[in-house]
Amino acid sequence: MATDNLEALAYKKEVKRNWLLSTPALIVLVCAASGPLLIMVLFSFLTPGDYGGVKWKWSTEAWFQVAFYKDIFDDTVTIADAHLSILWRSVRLSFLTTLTAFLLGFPTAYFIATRPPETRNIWLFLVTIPFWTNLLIRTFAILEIIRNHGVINSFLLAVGAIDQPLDMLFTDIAILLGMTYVYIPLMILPIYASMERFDFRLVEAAYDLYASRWRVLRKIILPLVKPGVIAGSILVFIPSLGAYVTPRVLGGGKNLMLGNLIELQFGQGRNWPLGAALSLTLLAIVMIALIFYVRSAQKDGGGHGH
Amino acid sequence: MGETIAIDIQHVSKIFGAQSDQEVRALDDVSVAILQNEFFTLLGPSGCGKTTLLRLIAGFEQPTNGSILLEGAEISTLPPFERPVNTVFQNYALFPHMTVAQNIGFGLEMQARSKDEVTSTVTEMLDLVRMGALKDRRIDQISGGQQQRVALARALAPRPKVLLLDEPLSALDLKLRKEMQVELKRLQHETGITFVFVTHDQEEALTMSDRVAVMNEGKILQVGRAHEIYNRPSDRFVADFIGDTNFLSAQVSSRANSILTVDLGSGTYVQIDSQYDAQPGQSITLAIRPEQARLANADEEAMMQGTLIDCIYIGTDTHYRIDIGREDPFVVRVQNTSGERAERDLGSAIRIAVDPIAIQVLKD
Repeated sequence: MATDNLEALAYKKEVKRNWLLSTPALIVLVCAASGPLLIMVLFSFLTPGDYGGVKWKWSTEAWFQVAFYKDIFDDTVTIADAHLSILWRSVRLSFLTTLTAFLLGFPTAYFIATRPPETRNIWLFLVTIPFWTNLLIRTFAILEIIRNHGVINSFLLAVGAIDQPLDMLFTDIAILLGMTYVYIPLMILPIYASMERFDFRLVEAAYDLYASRWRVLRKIILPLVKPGVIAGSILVFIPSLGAYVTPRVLGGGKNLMLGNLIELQFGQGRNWPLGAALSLTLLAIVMIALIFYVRSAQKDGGGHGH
Repeated sequence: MGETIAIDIQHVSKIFGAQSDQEVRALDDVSVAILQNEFFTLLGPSGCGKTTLLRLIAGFEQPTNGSILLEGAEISTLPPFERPVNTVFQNYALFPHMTVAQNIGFGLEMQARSKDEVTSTVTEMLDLVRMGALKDRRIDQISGGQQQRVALARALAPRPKVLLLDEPLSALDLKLRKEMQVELKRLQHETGITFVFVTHDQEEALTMSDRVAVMNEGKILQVGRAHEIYNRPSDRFVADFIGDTNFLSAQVSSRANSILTVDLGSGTYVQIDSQYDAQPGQSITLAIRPEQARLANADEEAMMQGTLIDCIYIGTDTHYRIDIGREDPFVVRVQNTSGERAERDLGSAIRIAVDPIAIQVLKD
């Protein structure tokens, strides 16, 4: 009886201590994540102020505007195809960025993981070097390379491969190129981390059991480094979807992505509720995409998450 | 055991890091023929080239020189996935993302066998290695000994012409190792597949193999049946590596036909029947197994004498270490047949008798 009491007391004490120890994390979570998110939810249900900001008047107008467009003159309601096409471009470009980053990043990670251990850190260091420079500067550097009188066009014109400069800047291709360049380290590093733990003797075992090189990749390497591929894809897809600087600089004003559209609402558009509603829509898309992706990735090949 | 050759290794050399200053000659002009359906063992200390030879047969390495024939056809240029040869790896290298049954079926699936055939062969293999009850377990859910069985079944499932085993028992504890030795012999017998087994454990090699090749420093020193290797070692390394041996340096004093008269020094001469072509005056080494020497009876002639410096009782045998005035003590192993220990006082004089037939003459 006495020991039961003591145990209960010790348990209570432990619970209390655990809460105490979690306080810093809880403060960060509330102030930096849940709090701002709740403010966004609140704003999305208010009315836009005349010069930005919000009026404290309940309204679902912003959510309506996310998907529909009401003509100011005759009040006819049509689908907001501008928003939808921007949404579609964002998803498509983010998907293509993730795919390109994977196709380039996977062989890179494989290359690094198969180097002798003492040289691997040098390669990893090279991969992370771009992080040292400001994103804006790197993006302008790409602009300098691909613009009409930039490095590539000057070279091609000089060697006579083309008569007219290629229009590369302010296209979706430019955005794709820029985003892949910016986010590819986020693909390489998690794949490398998985691959470093991968036992390359399994490759020999599979070769020995009549698996061709392609089959070894498909049946042995990919399933076992899948956690890294999933992590890398998430790390590239999510920031791509909300990317702002790269599409702004390399896409000009005309090829907007969701990030730019949202920024527009808080800036020139002076429609904070719509901006908030669009942000939450983006969040929802990311969450849904993530759930589907992780589920299907886990199902494929009967992978057992470690 | 048939007499047809399964694997013919002809003048194979393997040099790692060629054209650099750290050139390593892992195999040096090795030739050996492995017969069909035999249990063939490559035995040697670590770094002797036995694993390299196995990897050359499997196709993980290419020979620098020479050729490897499988049933008469050159295979040394084929990639591993085109050779009808499978390997049991030292660390098993089982696929951690597959079940026991999926691991065993992997090779068959890669060969694009029909689903029915895969299922029936996997079941057959599971029975063969007695793992049927655990077929749906993941690899990290079974013990080391069970992983060993799965690795064996996986390599045997595609019915390779030759099964290569790279020190597969070294990770197991002694009792399990003994069990697996018996198991391996049974599997080899039941499947009729040629086994090439790599080990550094001489006891394992002698008990399991039909024939043993003893390797050192990239060369095969001797190939033969267990008793041939043990009783007629070709040189000092083999005699020293396999079992315990007393070495005595001596000099040939005369030769008449195959009978050598050997001077052991201090006025002792022995006559040995040997094929070894030694000239009078040449120095040679005599090798005598401890169990083939004995403590001389009072009425018989002794070959040597000395003083007892140690007497070690190990249950079945007693080892007598005798100082015979040379650098190393001479060891005599006596079986404890009567159950009573023959007591000898340390420091007492001991006379050693050896039958001339038990003495091996080795190149010096």
